[in-house]
Amino acid sequence: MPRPDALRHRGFLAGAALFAVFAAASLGAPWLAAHDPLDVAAGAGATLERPSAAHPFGTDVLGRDLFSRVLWGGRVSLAVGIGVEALAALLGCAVGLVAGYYGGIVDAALMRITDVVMAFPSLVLAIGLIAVFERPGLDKVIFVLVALGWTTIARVVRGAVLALKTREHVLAARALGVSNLAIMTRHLLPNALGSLLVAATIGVGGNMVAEAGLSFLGLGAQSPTISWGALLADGQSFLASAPWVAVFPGVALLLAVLGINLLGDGLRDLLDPRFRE
Amino acid sequence: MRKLAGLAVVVALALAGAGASAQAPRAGGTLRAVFSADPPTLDPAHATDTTSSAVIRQVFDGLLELDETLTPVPALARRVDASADGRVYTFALRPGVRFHNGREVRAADVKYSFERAAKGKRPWVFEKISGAREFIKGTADGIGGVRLVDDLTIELRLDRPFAPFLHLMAYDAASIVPREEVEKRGPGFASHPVGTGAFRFASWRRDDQVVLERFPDHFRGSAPLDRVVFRIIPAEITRFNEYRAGQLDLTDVPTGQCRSVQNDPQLRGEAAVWPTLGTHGLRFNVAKPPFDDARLRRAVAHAIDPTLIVERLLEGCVYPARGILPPALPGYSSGIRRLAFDRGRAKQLLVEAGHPGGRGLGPIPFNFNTGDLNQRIAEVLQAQLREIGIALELRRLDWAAHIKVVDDGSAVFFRQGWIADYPDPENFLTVLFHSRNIGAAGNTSRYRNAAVDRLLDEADAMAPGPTRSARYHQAEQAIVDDAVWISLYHYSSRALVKRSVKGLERSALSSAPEFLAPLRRVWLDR
Repeated sequence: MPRPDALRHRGFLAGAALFAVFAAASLGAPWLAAHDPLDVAAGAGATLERPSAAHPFGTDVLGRDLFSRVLWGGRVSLAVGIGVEALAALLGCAVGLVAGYYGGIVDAALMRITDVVMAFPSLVLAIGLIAVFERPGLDKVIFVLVALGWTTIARVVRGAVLALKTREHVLAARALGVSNLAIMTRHLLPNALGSLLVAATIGVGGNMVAEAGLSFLGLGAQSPTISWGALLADGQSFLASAPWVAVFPGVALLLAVLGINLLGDGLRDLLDPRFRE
Repeated sequence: MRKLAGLAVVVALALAGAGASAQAPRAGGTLRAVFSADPPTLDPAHATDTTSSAVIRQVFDGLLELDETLTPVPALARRVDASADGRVYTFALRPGVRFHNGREVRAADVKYSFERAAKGKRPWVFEKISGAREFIKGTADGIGGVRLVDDLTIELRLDRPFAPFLHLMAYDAASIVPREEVEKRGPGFASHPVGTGAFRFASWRRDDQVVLERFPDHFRGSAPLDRVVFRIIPAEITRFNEYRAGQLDLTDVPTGQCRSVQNDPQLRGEAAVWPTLGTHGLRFNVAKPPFDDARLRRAVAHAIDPTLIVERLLEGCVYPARGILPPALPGYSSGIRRLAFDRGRAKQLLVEAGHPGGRGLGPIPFNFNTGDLNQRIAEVLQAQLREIGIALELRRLDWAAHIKVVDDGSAVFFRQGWIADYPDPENFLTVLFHSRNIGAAGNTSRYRNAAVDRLLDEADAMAPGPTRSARYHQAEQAIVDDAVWISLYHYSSRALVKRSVKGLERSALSSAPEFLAPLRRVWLDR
């Protein structure tokens, strides 16, 4: 990675810093959270408390500490965002490599499938797909987001492969009788990695928003699993009386996604020679 | 569904207080009430919901109605005599009562109305009458147990004595309808009802408003109000805003605002909360592991503390529960002991059941129907049971799917409340816990206890009184001790009513303000 450039790119730095903060907070949740995020108030204990020293983000309608819930929720939101993208990238890479490398009918068939998947409004399709399962849950959200999310990566990788496959080193490898699989993985993929990384980073933010949307609708994380989307759904009834219940998870989601998108944009600028200053 | 059936009947406490009753009612004016949804029908034979019943109650009368103490009293019947064996009831009709079309009511109208309604949506109201089941099945031409003695006398014969029978006769499904209007209008009768009630139907614009107007020839005399307009406004916040703007005379209290309206200087004197005949309960399927083990059920019961739900989630606007019967129900006993919140005892019971610390239990599914409140209650239960080592897996389904897994016995632990159709302990205890009613009939816990069955059978046949109540209490305590059902709280109604509305009464049977009845005594002081 071109370090000197990276240190001068403000967007990249801001994005990386934001992402680092959220990643650290999520990883450190078990130590940073002062309260058990699932503990409800005892008896008729206080609920919907304003932010205070004891509860920096206040408490929710059941008296649960919101700071702890936002921390633990971030773990789920980030893990889903990154996990889904990793799986989608794997799938997308395979499709893109095969389509781009073999070309012809294989390429046409795979790209038409990609077009069909991309043509659907993804959130509506996701809601429909989740409804097929007997019970909603985070596992279904992951499955559906991977099933719908591989297309961008597939196109990016195919594009890179099309440009690379006529290069001398690839032609040389073919002439030497190197197997197709080896050419794809050793010679094509490493060179497509830059564009792949950019697309995947931006995809992480999209996945987090999609997961939050589905959880907000009650189709994603189910209690006791906490995610930012579920926290937002929980807070919407109190927007007027206790805004902090929705505002803190909302701001967390906003900043985390902003950070990842800045990071992605920054990476593109740094890795793509056309954008280099 | 019986639970959802119409509940709009009469009267518990004068809302306006003592001052109002001293004033003479002033005639005239329009009462502006509101519904959250269009009534599906205005035909008493086909209604199954409280909105429909709220209109039907004003347009029709039955042989009987319920008074302030929820006791059946004469309405279209001027007298009712029961035989010594409790199996034959003779109703003498009030002479000269007219339908809204001007024709006088005769005994044949009662027979016609009952046979028509028995084939409608609430057949269970008539099933106790001899020959009703055969008639409903289609193997008889009429209900054998209904006999016309003369033009103004009708006799109803039951298969076996059934103490709450007169309550059924005060239920709006047993409203009297004029045959010629039903036949003339056909299905249109549901949107243009004709009865004997204090208000007659004027107009109905779907999803907009239902208008009723005074029927001057009502047998009790003309009602003070000229008209009643039920507007249909689906959004809770819109109803509240219209009420605040003075466009509605009464409305419901928006969710989560029970405390704030009571503290609002402008609304304080207009907010009312009163108990209704319902209980929010958790039930176990006792015929299926793991809850076929009573120790495990008791462990769960001891681990649950409803205080947070009652005081915080519901802002103290509901009533803490001891047993199954709600305090507003005639025959309620304050002597029932609930299984108290006691985590130590709960943990000990888990050990006795062979699951120390919840070991070997795995996540237990808890079924509930969709809704913010139900979701939050489920999360409270999940957090409280976690304290004794039991993990709940929350399963949220819409009402139809929820009731299916509850009725077919696949749910092992679930939320299911109950609201009385008529104010008698039989409607709670026998319906919900008698082994004869296992399954969709009401005993979704699939509870089978011969001693409880016997107590309930005896009490059901007895005339109301302390001996009968004692039987019910004994049965109720046995059910509570067996932890078949865990009561979380008893339901309440909350309403906002303008100070100018006088004579409106709060009924333990009315589940929402628009169902406050009867409107024939209401008048406006403005």
